[in-house]
Amino acid sequence: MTMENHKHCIRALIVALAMIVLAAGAHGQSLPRLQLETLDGETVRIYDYLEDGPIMINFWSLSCAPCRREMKHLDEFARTYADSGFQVISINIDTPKSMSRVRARVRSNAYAFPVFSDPRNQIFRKLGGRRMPYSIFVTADGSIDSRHIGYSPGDEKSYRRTIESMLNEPE
Amino acid sequence: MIRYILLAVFLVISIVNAQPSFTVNNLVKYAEGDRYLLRENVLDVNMFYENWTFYTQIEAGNPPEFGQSGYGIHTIRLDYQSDQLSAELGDVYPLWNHGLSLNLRYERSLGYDSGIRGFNTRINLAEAFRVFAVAGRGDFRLSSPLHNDVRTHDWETTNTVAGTGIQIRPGSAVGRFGLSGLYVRSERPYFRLDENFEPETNYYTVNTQLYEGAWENTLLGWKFAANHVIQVANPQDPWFPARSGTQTDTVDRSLGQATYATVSGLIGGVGVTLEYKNYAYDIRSPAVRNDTHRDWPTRMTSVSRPPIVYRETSATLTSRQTHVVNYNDEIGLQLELTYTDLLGISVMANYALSSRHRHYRLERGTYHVADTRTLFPSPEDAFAPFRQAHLELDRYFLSGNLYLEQALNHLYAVEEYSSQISYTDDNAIKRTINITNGRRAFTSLTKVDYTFTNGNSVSLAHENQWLDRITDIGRSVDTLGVSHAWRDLGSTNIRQAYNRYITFSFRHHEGITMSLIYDYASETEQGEEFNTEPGNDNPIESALREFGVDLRNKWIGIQLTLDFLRNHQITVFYGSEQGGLQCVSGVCRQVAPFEDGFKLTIQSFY
Repeated sequence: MTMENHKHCIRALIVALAMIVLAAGAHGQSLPRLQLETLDGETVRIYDYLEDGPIMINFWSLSCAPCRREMKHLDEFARTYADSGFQVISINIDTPKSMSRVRARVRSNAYAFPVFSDPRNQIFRKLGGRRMPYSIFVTADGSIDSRHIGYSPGDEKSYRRTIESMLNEPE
Repeated sequence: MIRYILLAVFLVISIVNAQPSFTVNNLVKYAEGDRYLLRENVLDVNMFYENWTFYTQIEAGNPPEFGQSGYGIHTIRLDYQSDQLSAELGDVYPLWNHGLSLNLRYERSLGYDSGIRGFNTRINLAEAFRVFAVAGRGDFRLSSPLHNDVRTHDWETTNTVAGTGIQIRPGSAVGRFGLSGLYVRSERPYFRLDENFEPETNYYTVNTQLYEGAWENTLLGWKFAANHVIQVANPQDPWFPARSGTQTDTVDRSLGQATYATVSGLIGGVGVTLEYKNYAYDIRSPAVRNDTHRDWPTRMTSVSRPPIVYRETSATLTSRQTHVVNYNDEIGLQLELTYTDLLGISVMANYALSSRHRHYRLERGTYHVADTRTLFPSPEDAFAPFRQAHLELDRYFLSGNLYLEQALNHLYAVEEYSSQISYTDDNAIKRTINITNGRRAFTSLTKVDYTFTNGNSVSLAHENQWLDRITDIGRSVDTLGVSHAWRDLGSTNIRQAYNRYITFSFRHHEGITMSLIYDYASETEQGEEFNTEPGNDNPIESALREFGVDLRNKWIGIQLTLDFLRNHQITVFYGSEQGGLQCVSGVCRQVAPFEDGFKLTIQSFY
C-alpha cells in the first residue's frame, strides 16, 4: 500500500468512525419523514400510514423472483391484519423504463396494499437498501423494529411473529 | 474538495442541533481464490433533519470487486425535499422521463456509476407546471474482463452536463407534456503512436445536444406514454483519431434520434403491457461499429440510457446468454401478459423482438446498405435480430406450504451479421456470410419449495439449457438471401452445448440458510476446459472425486447465510463460480470466474 493510499485509508476510517459515533448518539432508529410517489405520480407522506398502527415497508423489482413470491404473503398479511391497523407499504424500485409492466403486474394481482414507485432508488438507499427484496418493520411511533434482506420460504412465519409482536406492543 | 466541505458543514449542523435521525449500514466483502483477491468495505450513512437529508458513502477497496482501488468518500449528497421543491447538491443521479436523454445510475453490484458531481433540482411552480434543471461533471469508466465478447465493450469518458426542462399538465383529458434540452461535453481518451512510434494518450471532445419531448396520459384505465429525443453530436476535432496506429478518419456532425412508447392496462383481469423502441442515436456500418480499437465519437452518450424493451429473467443460465441492447441502432417490441388466477396458477408470458435498422453488404471494400427497416424490427438474420419468448407458471399447494414454479425460455440472437461479395482471381463472384456471435438457447427452470410448520424450509431450483452457438464464421454461400443461419449454414459451423445449474437450500427458522450450488457447462464460453486436473482440486472437489465424480467443467460451491441480532447478516461461500454475463436494468458486464476460494460478506445496519 502506498503512502497516498495510507492517507486515504486513515481519512476514510476517521470519517467512518465519526459517522458511526454520530449515529450511535442520534435519536434511535426512527423512520425519516419521507415522501412517497404513487404509480400515478401523486405524492403522499410515509408518516400518514403510521397513524393507524405499525407498518412493513417492502422494496421489490420486476426482475426479482423472490420478491414476487414474498408479495403473495404480504398480500395475505395486509388482508389479515387490516383491522388491527397494520399496513404493508410496497415500494417498487424499477426505473420508469419498466413502469408499464409494473402497473400491469400490480393491477392484475389486485394487491390489498398500496404500491409506490422509487425510480431513482432514493428511498431504497436512504433506508439502507442494497439488494432485494428488502423489508423494514416500523412500529406505530416511527421506530425501526427490524430489517430483513432477501426472502427464503419460511421467512413469512418470522414476519408474522414480528407483526404480531409490534401489534401487541403497548402504545 | 466539495465533498469534504459538504461533509464538514453537515457534521457541524448535526452536532449543534443534535436532533437528526440516522440510518447507517455497512457492507464488508472479502474474497480469496485462485488468482482472485477482493477486499472491500462500503459504509452508507444517511442523516435526516426535517426536510433535509445528508447522504455519504465511504469506500475502502484494495482491490474492490469492480473498478479501481480507492479509499475515501465515493458519494456525498445533500438534498432537500418538499412539496414545492426538490434540490440535490453533490453526487447526483437524475432521471428524466424514460431516460432517453438523461438517466444516470449507480449499480455498485456491477461497478457501474455514471453519476455527476453538481446539482439537480425540480420546482413545482403550480399544480400543473413543473421546472427541472441539472448541471455537473463526472467521470464514467466501464471495463470488462472479457474483451472478445461483442456484447460488451469498454467505455471511458468525462462528461460535463447542463440541462433544463418543463412539465405541464393542461388538463386531465390531454395528460402531461414535457420538453427538455440537455448539453453534454464529453472528453474521451484515445491512444496513438507518436512520431517515434511510442504510444501516447490524448483526448478528443464531443459536444452533444439532446432535445426531448414527452407525453403521458391515462384514458379509460389504460396508461399511455411516449418519448422522442433528437441527438446532435458535434465532434470538436475535425478528425477522429484511431486508438492505435496513425490512421485518422473525418467525422461530421451527426444527427440521431430515439423513440419509446408504451401502453398498459387490463383486459378481463389480464395485465397487458406493450412497449416499442426505435433507437437510432448513431447508426453506423460494420466497418465502424466492429472496430475494437476505437470508439465512435457520435454514438449515444453515457448519460443516456433508455428502456431495454425485453425481459431480464431471474434464471442464471438465461441471463448469461441474453442480449445486450444496442442503443445506437435498435428497433423492437415487447408484449407481456400477466394473469394471477388460472385455476390457481399465476401466469406470465412475455415476447420480445428487436433488430438493427439496416442490413449491410460489403462489396469492393465498401459497405453498402442492402435493406432497411424504419418502423418495425425484422426477424431475419441479416438484421442481427434478438427474439425471446418467456413463460412462467407458479402455484401454491398444501395450504401455501408447497410452491411449484416452472419457467420456459427460448432466445435467439445474432449480434453481428454481414454479407460480402468479392471476386476471385478469375473474376468469378464469391458470396460470403459473416456472423459474429450468434446464439439460440432453450432454458427450463423448475423450482420446488416446501415450508414445514416450524418455519424450516427446503428449496430446489433446477435449470437446464440447450445452447447452439455460432462464433466468428465466414462461409461461402450460393445466394445471399440467407434468412436463418442455423438452417442454411449447416451444422459444421454450430457448436452445441448443454448447461445445468442447480441450487439446493435448507433454511432453519432461526435464520440460518445452507445452500449447495452446482454449475455445469458441457463447453465453456471461451472454449477452455475447467477443472480437468485433480492436482488443483479444493477439498470439496477432492471429496467428490473420491466418489468417482467427473469434475470437468463443473463449478461447485457451498454457501452459509446467517441472520443475527435482527440487523446483521453474514454470508460465507466456499468453492468455485463460473461467472459470465450479468445484467441489471440493462447495465451488463462480464463477471470473471472465481476458482477454489471463499467469499465473506457481512451486511450490518446500525
